[in-house]
Amino acid sequence: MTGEWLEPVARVTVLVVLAEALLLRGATRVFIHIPGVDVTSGILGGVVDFARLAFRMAVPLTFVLLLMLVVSMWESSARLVAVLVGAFLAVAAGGRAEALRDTADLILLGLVALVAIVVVVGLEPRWRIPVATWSAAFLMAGLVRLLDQSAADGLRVVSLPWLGGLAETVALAAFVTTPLLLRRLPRRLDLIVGVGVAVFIALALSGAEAQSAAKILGLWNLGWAGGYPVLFYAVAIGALVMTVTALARYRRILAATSLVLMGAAGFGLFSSYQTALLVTGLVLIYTNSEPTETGVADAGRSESHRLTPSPEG
Amino acid sequence: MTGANATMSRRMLVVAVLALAVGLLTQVFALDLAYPQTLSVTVWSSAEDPGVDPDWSGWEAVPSAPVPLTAQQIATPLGGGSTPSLAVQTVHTDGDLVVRVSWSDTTEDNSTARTELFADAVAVQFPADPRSSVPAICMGQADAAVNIWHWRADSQAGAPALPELGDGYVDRYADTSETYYPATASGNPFASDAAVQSLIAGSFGTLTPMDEQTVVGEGRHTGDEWAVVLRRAFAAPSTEHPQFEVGQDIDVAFAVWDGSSDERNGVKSVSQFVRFSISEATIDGQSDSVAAARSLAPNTTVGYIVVGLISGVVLALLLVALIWFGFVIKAFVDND
Repeated sequence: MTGEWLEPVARVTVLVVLAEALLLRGATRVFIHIPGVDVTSGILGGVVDFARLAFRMAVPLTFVLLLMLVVSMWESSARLVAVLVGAFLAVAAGGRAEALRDTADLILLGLVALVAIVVVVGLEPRWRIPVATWSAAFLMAGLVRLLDQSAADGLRVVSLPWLGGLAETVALAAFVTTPLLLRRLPRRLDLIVGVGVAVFIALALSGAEAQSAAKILGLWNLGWAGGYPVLFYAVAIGALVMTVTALARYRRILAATSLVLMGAAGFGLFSSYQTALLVTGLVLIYTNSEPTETGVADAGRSESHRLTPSPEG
Repeated sequence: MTGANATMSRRMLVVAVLALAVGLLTQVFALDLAYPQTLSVTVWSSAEDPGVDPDWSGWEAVPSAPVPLTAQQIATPLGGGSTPSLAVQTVHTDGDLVVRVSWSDTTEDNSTARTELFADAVAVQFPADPRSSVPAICMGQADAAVNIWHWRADSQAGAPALPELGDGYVDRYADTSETYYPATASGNPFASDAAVQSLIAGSFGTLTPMDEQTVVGEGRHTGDEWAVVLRRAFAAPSTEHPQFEVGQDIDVAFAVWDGSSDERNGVKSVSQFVRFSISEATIDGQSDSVAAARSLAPNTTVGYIVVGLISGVVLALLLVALIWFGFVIKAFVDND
């Protein structure tokens, strides 16, 4: 039952999350800076209302999808990941209920770290590079927030002012290496889409004001500080889009979905919803990988636990 | 359409309808299933009243939260960013919220007597409606206004005294006459003697002084640092001001202007939204050590363990990626 509904839920979730990220975190925050524009009425008012509704839909969908993945993994004997993700959901709920007010973020990031390492070790070798770097970038950015929080709580554990910049560098490396998730070379159309997106971003952000707005929206919504030239981000996002396009064309929908969800999660701690997006993406990648011959995840893992066959492979 | 595709479409439709229903329900009842993970600054309860004194001895015992700042890069005039961060300390006492912000600044710019001079300043921004679940970033929006407490060094210093002209002029008028101060006479808020103004904004270009000016404050420049204290009663004087209460979490953002760096208007250093968490936990303002605050900091051990664990995992992940990157390079070389 869960397996049959997993892909429909994942497909709807990725569409709604994309709408939320593009409209709520992107468009509406640009609209409000256009002088004289009234975002409370007319077409723009409708867009703003729809963006908020998309957010309200995306949050429960993400948590439901994660819960379904827990059930699927438990049934398919990938129980270590199932337990870790189940704990993540429980702590996220505890944080929402304020039962774990002060420790929820600490425990959640710790669980993300554990999920990441189990997933990375359990992946087929070539996939480890993008997934490990992506996870490391997220954890480093999250660590920056935790260290700031420790100072706010009167504890200066350690000050690492360079960590945020390193997280961004590793994040760019993760994006650029996502084509390693493909089992075949991308086709010409995928390359054209990726290069087209890269060129579009490079041109669109060539103006100082567009670049400035993109930087601050990227920082506030996704944790991108924008420390590198625009070309770096254009190439990185182009590589990611090319990979997603190729995965979708090879009908590896859940793998493509995982990258989109991880991209929408951003890097660092913003909300339990965005952190859940990353975990969902990691788990979807894990469930779509070929099992390894060695590794932590093999303890109870078998071919049968993969939730969808891969026509490409 | 094949049978499998039709089934997939039907299921997606069912999922979408259910998600829409849940989304509408959470919208109507203002339910948030996720919680924000932004920086949370505890507002401690203090038995001793700090007044608006930046040098109050009790501040030493109040943990200081670092808040990163960046240049304002959305609305013209763009720029700023000369102040990389500020430190925030907060207490509440006798039903008043007291916020102390401090930041490095080697120059004390407290005069705007000439057109090329700009003053140091700081602003603290709250959503006018503290329950707003989607933060109204920047200067708010039409349906989610923000309340801004704006302290300016030049307002605190007051207008410079005019030079004494002596008796050398026949029929000389008194310098204090409003005739010489048209801004004051016309009610220009920038000509006010108050160091702090409470403002409201519903988007860029809509910044307006509140009718009720209930925020007080004082700044002090010592050596290479500004420290400014802002204070207001919990009770909101009107619906356009946020109401505070113990147990409440409220979004808050900051901005700093460095006059020596020609920062004014939109040219400033701004923060992301962080949260004030107004706590019942008390901090002993009489205490002579920071240990009092540290003993209140929650879950110290858990914090150390998790931070250590995450650091280890990050290193492990990077190592795994690096090793496999080496293998991939080797495979390419071997294939050649």
